[in-house]
Amino acid sequence: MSKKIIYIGIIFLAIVAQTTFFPIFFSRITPDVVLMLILAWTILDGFNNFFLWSILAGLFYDLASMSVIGTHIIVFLFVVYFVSFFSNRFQVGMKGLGVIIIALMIGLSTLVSNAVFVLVEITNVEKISIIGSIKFIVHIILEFVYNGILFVFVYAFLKKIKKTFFLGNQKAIIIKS
Amino acid sequence: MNKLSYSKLIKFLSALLLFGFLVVLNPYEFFSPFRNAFSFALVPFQKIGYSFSLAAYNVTSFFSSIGQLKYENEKLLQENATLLSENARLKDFENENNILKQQLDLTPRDKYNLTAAYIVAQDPQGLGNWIEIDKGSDEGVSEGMAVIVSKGILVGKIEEVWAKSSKVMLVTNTKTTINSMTSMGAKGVVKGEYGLGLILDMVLQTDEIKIGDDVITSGIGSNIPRGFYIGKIQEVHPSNDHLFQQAVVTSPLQISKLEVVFVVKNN
Repeated sequence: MSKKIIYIGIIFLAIVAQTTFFPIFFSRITPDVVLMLILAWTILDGFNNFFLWSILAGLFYDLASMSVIGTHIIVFLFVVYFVSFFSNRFQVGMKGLGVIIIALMIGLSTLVSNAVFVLVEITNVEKISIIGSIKFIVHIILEFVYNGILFVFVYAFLKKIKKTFFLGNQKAIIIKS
Repeated sequence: MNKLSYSKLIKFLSALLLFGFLVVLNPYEFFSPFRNAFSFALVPFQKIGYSFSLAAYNVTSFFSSIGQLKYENEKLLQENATLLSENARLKDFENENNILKQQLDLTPRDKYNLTAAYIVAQDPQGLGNWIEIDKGSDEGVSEGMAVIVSKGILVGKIEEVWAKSSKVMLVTNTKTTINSMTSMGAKGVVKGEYGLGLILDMVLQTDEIKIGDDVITSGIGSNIPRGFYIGKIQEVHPSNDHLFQQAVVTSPLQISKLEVVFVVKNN
């Protein structure tokens, strides 16, 4: 039960930060702390443990960001599946080849997030021409860099939380013969 | 593909299909009570977060600007000397400005019933699409109402209303279209460009528009009264089909740094 409360609390706080703190400090190109949270959490918890949480987080994020319901859910589903796909084939972690894999996943997540959002929000065909513009490409690259930096902090934070709240709760079972 | 991978793929595709269908259907009315309830829980935290973030930003801005102060001080001393001589000339322009204001019917604040509202959240995608304010239907706010800042500069209009909060669609939102006119009387429509700026479109070829002209709301066909300032023309060029003129308009507002806005409740 405490795990659920902590998960919901962290998701809630990330959404508050994403709608208040980050737009003020990063008015043009805003990193996505909720997206990085989902990515880091999936790496730590795995597909099966985090699949439903990613849907819940996406739903909360859609409600808070006033997006079409399902937009962020779809983005997070892609993130969770990508992580699972790469985890089966490579060692995903913060050292060696794992760092390159993580950088690739951050890049893919950023791209998928923007692509899904543009596809859902754009209703005018003329506006699709802005996607190919230099401004948009620079936007994606800078957002990838910001997300990468943010990911490091989010990953470290989640590892600390897991260590403090979950590993510490494990009880040893002594079997007396 | 082993059994585990296969089951993951099935779960992923099933969820993707389900929520993709939901996105296409977009049952807005069905989710409206959930948005209302979630907003009710979220807004108090957003208020605290927003105020704290603005305060933190102001502190960091102060420290980062210290290095610039010496340079700016020297620059200002030079400018002061120039300005003193211009001051006398500008007194004449002041009289002309008063006459123009009467002609343009710029908004005096005492003409409108204004409700002050704090901004509690912004578009998290950073596209300059919307802001959320802490006034809703309980305070008499309704859809379509104009939102301004204190000097009569248009920020946007109310798009959605809940009991305790409202969503303001900004002028820089691509879905926003505002009937406008320039200080020279040329009429057109201002549209947003993904938070990158504003475009004054559909100006007749026979109308004169030039760089430096002010753009204000014309008050035609909407709840937005005439005379709210939108911005200044930075660039003029023909539209893609060459039937009209277009202009790039720059707003004086920095939305991300705003704290308080005003909802125009009536004329």
